[in-house]
Amino acid sequence: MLLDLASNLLLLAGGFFFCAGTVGLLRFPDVYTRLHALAKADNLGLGCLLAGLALKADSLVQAIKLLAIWPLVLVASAVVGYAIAHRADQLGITPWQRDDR
Amino acid sequence: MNAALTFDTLLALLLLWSAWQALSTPKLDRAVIMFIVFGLLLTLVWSRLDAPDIALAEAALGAGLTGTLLLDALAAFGQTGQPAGNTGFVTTIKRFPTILVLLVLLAALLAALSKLPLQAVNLPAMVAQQMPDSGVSHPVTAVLLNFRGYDTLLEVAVLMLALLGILTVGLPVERPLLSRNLLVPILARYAVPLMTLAAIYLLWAGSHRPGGAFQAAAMLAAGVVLLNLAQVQPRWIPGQHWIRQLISAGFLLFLCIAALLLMLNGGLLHYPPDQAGLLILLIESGLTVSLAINLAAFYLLRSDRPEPLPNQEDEP
Repeated sequence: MLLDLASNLLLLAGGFFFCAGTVGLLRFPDVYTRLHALAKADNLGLGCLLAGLALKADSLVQAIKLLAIWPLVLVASAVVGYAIAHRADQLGITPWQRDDR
Repeated sequence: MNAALTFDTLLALLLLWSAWQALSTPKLDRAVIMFIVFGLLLTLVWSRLDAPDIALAEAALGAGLTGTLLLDALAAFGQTGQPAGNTGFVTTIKRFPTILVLLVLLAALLAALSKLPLQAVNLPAMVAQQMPDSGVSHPVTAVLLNFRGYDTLLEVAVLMLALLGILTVGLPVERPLLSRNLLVPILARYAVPLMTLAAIYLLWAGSHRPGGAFQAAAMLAAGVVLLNLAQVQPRWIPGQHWIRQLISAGFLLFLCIAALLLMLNGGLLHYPPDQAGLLILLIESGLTVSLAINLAAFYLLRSDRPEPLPNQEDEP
């Protein structure tokens, strides 16, 4: 019962982070801030979703398999985020700054 | 309406929308991205249809490798080809005969389809009945490598032909390289051993659960492409003989086993039930290596043409 509650809360939190990441991707002004929104929110969101699903899993092996996905995605997403930002920097895209300065 | 049905409907609509976007957008880069999105949505559709084998193949080949090839082509050729957009009334008139012919063809096909009896043969039952003799316990592998092994043999030949086509046409040698950075090579060095392990697992799993030669080969090929993108693995040159030999080896092994069985048993790819499992594993192992190199070669092989194709913009 408590397990179900915790699992559902984690799933909801995961969904919230994914939504926040998507809104950030659509609304933020430049490539760096968008990357920030996407990488942070999606990694945390995926972690919550996987933890929530692992609590619902039938067996321990299944739960471990689900949780094993997370570090793989974390590493891949960190490197991809870095590669995109690095390339953007090389191309001379200057980070966005607030206009009223 | 319950949640599953809502999700499936949404998925189907998104699939159609992304397909339409990929076809209709006048921008090539957008079309490529939408094609990759389409492939990922299709993967979800296959897994919703309980077809994990096809979902795996679609994710790795359809969205992954094909997407990479398209992005690479986009980078190599740029946006030089101006696609003809909807430029007005005249184009519509010119297209009218084609549209008419296609509509007639569609009507004929629908008419023919409506006369087909539903499920003339109960295929799932037939497969289930023959499973004990197939040498494997996963129905998809049994159909691909045993009952319809002939089809798979020809599919492998088609992939080799595709590579021949690429070699004949040739592609520009120069490719805009990824920016040099430290992290991507490190990721590649750590990821590729894991991917190799996963590929071997997929190959082995094929006998009793979703997996098999094509999925394993796609995983290996993706690893090689990743190494190339990370500038760890240099491009291949068509003159390198080991590439040709390894690519044809898997197909030849398949063909030799087929010919041997034809002489011994009087049927192409009629495995004796006792050795069927071993023969299938042998064929699949050979195919995994050959297909992996074949698929990676789509990306890594570049013609030894001395200079890149002339760009239209560069000409005076």
